[in-house]
Amino acid sequence: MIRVNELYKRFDDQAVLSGIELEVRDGEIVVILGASGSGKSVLLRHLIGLMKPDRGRIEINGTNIVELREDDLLEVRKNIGFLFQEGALYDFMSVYDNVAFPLREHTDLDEASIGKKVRETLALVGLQEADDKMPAQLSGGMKKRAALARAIVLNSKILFCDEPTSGLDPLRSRDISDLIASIARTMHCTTVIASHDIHNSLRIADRLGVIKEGKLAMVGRAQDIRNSTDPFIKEFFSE
Amino acid sequence: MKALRQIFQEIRDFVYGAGNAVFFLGEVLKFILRGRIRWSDVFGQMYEQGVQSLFIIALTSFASGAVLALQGAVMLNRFGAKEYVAQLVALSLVRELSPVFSSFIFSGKAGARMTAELGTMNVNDQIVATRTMGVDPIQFLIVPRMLACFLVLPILIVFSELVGMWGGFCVGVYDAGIPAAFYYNQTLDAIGYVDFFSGFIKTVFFGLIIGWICCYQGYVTRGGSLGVGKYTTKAVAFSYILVVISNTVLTKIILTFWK
Repeated sequence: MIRVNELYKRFDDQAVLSGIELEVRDGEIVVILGASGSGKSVLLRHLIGLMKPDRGRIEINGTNIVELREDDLLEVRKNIGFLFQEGALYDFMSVYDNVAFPLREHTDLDEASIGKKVRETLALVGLQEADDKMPAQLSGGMKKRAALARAIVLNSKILFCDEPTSGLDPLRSRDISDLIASIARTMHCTTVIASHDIHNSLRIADRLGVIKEGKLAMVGRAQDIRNSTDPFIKEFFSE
Repeated sequence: MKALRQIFQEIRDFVYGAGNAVFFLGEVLKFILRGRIRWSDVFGQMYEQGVQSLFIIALTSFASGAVLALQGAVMLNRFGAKEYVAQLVALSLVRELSPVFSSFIFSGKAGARMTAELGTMNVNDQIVATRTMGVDPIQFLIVPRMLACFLVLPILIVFSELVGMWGGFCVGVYDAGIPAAFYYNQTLDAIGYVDFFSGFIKTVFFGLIIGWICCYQGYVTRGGSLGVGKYTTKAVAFSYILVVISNTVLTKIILTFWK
């Protein structure tokens, strides 16, 4: 369970988050939508403790991570998968080593078991043939798949995805959205996705939230959003 | 008024940056003192940094030694003291030239690479990604690079001194006509324990300075590919400045207490 209360963040004169309230239930997929620069990625970075809010609480499974020191946050993050917009794969490691990295860091598995787990996870994201490739040799979609494999290889129960479809063509966007949804449902992951891809978000999300002026203007199911009479929501979804 | 405000802003940024750099060094030392060192990564980095700089250091050191011998032979010949060329070459290289010049070259080659590498990782979110995976990027990425720099530079400088002396030997023997055995013995006689270690101690400091500056600049790089270029240039420039300044201070200290 993830619970966000009264979250505020300013950068110099600009208020980016102005009292975000959000609750994500276990196993739920919530997509945060909003225009570019609306604070979606900033919210996600707060959820994993990469940024400290000016005010507010963020509870991850009952722990208020806002109060934690960096050493304790590192422990919390071991149980969270984070998919970056551009993948953020280590470019000096092969795909195999990138996916093996969290296992080598946080488990006592021997190399044979790590290899088995890496190959299973790569097969899950459809990259079983690319394990010896370097990130520079991958297409945009393949990079996101490899990064997704790295994010879930520890069987994390929480998954955060920052703009997973940005820079992809419509077909690849659909594929990666379906893949994230399928993995989240299979592994029963509590998933928060920051996105501006309305079409795919409406398809895969259990609930959607729309950020407007630093606040969640509305959080609800796809049907509720479609039926909303709020002028901003109507305009946003008519785009 | 605007210019004054800008100067004030520059000073504030510099003080803020310097404070952050010191804090960063403290973080690195904390990991090292706690023994949280990835030795396989350190050796990997030592190999990369060492091999990368070896050829260019050999080339410049040989040339420096040779030029010193060429100039020394001309000057000393005027006083009828050509046989002291070996001493001149050996002492100049061991006490000053090799530590300083090789540090410059190392900073421009391995140091710049470190900054560019870390900077690119930074702008591509790889450093942040390390944190999201529950791993401290300082321990994983910075400690091995800084430690490797600290360990490999003294080795490279001893190598540079040997190659430089060989350059001087070639000129002294084949150009100035000094007998090889005489030149060799003069070189050995010239370098005392004090001479060698006064240069060597400096290299330890230079290794620390270059590793610190270059890793820090890479770690704080912002602004995409333009930022990587800007911070890399800054890292090399700061390394040069700090090497030159610390060399002056260290030389004075060494000469005061240990002549």
